[in-house]
Amino acid sequence: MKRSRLNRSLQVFWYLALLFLYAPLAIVVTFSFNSTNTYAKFSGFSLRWYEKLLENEIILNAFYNSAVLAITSSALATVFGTALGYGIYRYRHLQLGWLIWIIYLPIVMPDIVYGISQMTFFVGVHQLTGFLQPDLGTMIIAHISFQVPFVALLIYSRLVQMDPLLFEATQDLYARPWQRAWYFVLPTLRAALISAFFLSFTLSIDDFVISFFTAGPESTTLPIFIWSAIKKGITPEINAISTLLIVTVFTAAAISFAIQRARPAQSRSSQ
Amino acid sequence: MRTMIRSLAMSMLLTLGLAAGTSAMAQEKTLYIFNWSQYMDPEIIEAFEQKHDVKIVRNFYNSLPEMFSKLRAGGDSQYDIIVPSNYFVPRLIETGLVQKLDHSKIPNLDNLHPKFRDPSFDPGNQYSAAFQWGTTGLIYNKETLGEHSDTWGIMFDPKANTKYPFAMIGDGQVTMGMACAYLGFGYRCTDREQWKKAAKLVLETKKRENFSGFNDGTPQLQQIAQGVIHAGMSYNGDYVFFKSEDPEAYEDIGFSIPKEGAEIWVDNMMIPANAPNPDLAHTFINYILDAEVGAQLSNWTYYSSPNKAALPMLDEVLQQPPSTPTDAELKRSHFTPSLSGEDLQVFQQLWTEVQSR
Repeated sequence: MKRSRLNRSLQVFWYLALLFLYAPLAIVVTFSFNSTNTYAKFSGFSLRWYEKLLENEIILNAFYNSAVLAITSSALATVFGTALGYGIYRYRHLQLGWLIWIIYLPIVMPDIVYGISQMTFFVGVHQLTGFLQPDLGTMIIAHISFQVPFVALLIYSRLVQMDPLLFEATQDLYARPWQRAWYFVLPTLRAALISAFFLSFTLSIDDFVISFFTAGPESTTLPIFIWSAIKKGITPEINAISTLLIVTVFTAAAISFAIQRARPAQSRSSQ
Repeated sequence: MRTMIRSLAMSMLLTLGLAAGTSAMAQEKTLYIFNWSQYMDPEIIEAFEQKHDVKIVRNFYNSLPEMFSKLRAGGDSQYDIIVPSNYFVPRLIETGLVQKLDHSKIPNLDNLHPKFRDPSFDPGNQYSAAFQWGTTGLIYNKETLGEHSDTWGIMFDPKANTKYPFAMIGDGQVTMGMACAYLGFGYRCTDREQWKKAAKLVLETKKRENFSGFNDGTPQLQQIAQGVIHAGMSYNGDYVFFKSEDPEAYEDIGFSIPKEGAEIWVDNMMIPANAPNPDLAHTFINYILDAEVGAQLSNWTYYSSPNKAALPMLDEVLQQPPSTPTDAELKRSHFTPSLSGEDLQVFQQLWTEVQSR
């Protein structure tokens, strides 16, 4: 009796958490379909703000930059992060556990500190050598640098879950290193790789702080555009962009999550 | 697996190719503009692009300090045009972030109204040419605060308005200037003792229960229409813009230049010190100062035009107050003083104190 009352009151927190998480997002999405430019009331369903987006060259350009940045950086971060995660796993007997702290550090570093230091670094290198002028290239480098630790940790944790004897089994079957990689390690990691890619993708697409500091004149992304546009207040157009961003991030996160979940069943049937 | 790797590789190649494509496009002549957002008619941009066969890339900033720090971090070699407000002009000149204008390339400079031709913040227009101007005044709800409110007392006099929420502008120099004006020191006060008194007044005002917060001028206009605040500080141009967009919602909202005084400001086109295309930048400034383009610009932004030759072509709503202030209103509107050195430090300390207490 007492127990159930406690449970019920704890349930309230669950619903409160949901409310504060999703109600603001719901408002943004709802008002992106509002037919008039006001927050005061919802005057009717309309797609006019989305149509306006498609006519706005600056927004389309920002959309394009965001896409190029997210896809390129995630793909490269998946490659580098996987190599790193595998390396940490492969040489874990060398007592290099403390190395993990070095990669952890950027994850816990405040974005603002990280962004400013990246900017200072790029500007300094540019002044000395003429390379690395802030533009999409420097943004891709910066994004890869904060995505790699996430990928490495994801891959590492997947590898640790595996039975180490399987590696010995491949050796017993005379697999060469590249055969082992191609026929065993990569297929086993497939789910982790896809989910690492989409995790990196969501990190990149909604990053504002680090992008802001490392961007150049031609590499405005959607979050940077939104920031500069809110000087004039939040327009329904901004709501429409935000809605598209929300949908994109949700989709990427859902794919990442679904594949991670589905993996155990699949692996049993395929191995 | 193989298909996944292939598709990954494909998407990488594709994006790299696209990225290379965009940077190749940048080889053609490009003009980089760094401006406030929604401050330029896109048709003007298109017309200029066609007329001179160039590409224009536009970037936006949210505040002047933001623009300033971007310029300092290498931006002075990445942008061709910036549009700072009057009180930031001396700071940009002193730090060497901007270059002198070549007047021989800007014949349309003569179109500027005499009052913008030799401004105190940049004598002789050596570095800057006016883009748009306006005033920062009092916005108020006519129904609750009276049809004709024209005093900062609505905010600073605790007895004048005890229950209706109000906001002040987040830019310290403006809010402090308004407080100075209310105390009778004038909007442009820079005396330390007067500053201290003004800071004390703002602090006391901030602690009142119906103070809603510091905010920028434009969002305040949205808040006042929603009834979140009943009085605030905002810009005449945005007031006119919002009012013509949604006459119903702004029917009961008034704008005034209080009798104690208010701010007049002007945003100026300048060329960063190491701009990639200074010649094109001069051409662009000259283009904006053209009479017809100047009128088109103001008709789009709803701000006042510094272009004397453009005045007859302005929309009717722009030819009357508050877009075009009366002589009396102009007389009590003042530029925000440009601070430097010790003055700037003292002011920033004071303002930080006001905000944090």
